[in-house]
Amino acid sequence: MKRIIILTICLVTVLVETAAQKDMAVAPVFAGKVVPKKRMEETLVKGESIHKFKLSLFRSLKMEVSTVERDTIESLVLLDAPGMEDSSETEYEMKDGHLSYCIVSLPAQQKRYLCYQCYESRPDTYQLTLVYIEGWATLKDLHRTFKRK
Amino acid sequence: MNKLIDKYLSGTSTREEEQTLRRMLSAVASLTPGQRAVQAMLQAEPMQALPQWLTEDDSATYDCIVERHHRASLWRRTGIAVAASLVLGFLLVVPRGGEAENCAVATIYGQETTDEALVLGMMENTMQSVLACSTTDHIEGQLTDILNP
Repeated sequence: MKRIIILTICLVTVLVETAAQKDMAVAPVFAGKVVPKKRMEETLVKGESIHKFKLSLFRSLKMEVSTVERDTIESLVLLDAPGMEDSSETEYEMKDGHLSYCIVSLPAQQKRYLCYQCYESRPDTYQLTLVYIEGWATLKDLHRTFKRK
Repeated sequence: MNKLIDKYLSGTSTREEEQTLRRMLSAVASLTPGQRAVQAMLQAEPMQALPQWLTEDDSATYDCIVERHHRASLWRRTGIAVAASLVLGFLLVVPRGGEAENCAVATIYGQETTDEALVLGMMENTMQSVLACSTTDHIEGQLTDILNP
C-alpha cells in the first residue's frame, strides 16, 4: 500500500511538470497534429539573433489548409484569445464570419503574442499562417520593426 | 538474538534482521517467566545467550524503536523518490520545438535548413505579411469589392 502511494506521488509529480508546457490550445497545431508537418513551412528562431527585434522566441507555421482544417485551427486560436475585443494589445479582423487576421497578447510575465492570418487562395483552400512570439516587444514595436518596405 | 540486538543498536542491521528481531522480541515478551525457562531449555543456544532480563516493557520499547526506525526510513525513501521524480520530470520535459538556447531552423515541407540568414529572412517576411493585414489587405479588399461588384 505504501509503495503504491509513493509510486502515485512520483507519477503525479512527473505528469504535472510535463503538463505545464502544454498550456496553449494551439499546441497541437505546432505539434503537427492538426495538419501534418510535411505540409507546412515551419520557422523556429530562438536566442540572440532576434534580440534586435526585441524577441526571444519566434515560431511560425505556414500551410495550405482545407475548410475543415481552417475551422479547427480558428477555433483553437479563439480558445487562446478570449475577450480579444477588450484588449488594447490585440488586433483582429473578421471576414465572412471567420477570423481573417488577429494578433493577440497572451497573459504572461513577459510579452507573448499569437498571430493568425488566413485568406482564401483557391476555392475551399486557404493559406493560413500561425505565429507564436515571446519577447519584450510591444505591439507598436512589432508594427514598427516589421513594417513592409 | 543477542547478536541481532547488538547489530540493531550499532545501526548495522538490515531490514529483514530488524523484522526478525521484532518478531523474536514480541514472542519473548508474551511469555511468562516459566515459559521462558522452558524455551531456554529447548533452545540450542546457551542460556546466557538469551535475554532473560527482558521484560514486557523493554520489548515494547524495542518495538517502538524499530517501528520509529522503519517510519523514518520510509519517509527518507519517499523524499528521495519525490526529489528524483521532480528532477526526472524537469529533465524529461522537452522544450518547445526541442531547440537549444540559440537556434534558427526552418523546415519547408520536411526539408530542414539552418542557414541563419535565410531563416531570419523568412521570419521577417512572415511578420511583414501578417502585420500588413491590419492595414493594406483590408484596404485592398475594399478596393476589390468596389472594382468587382
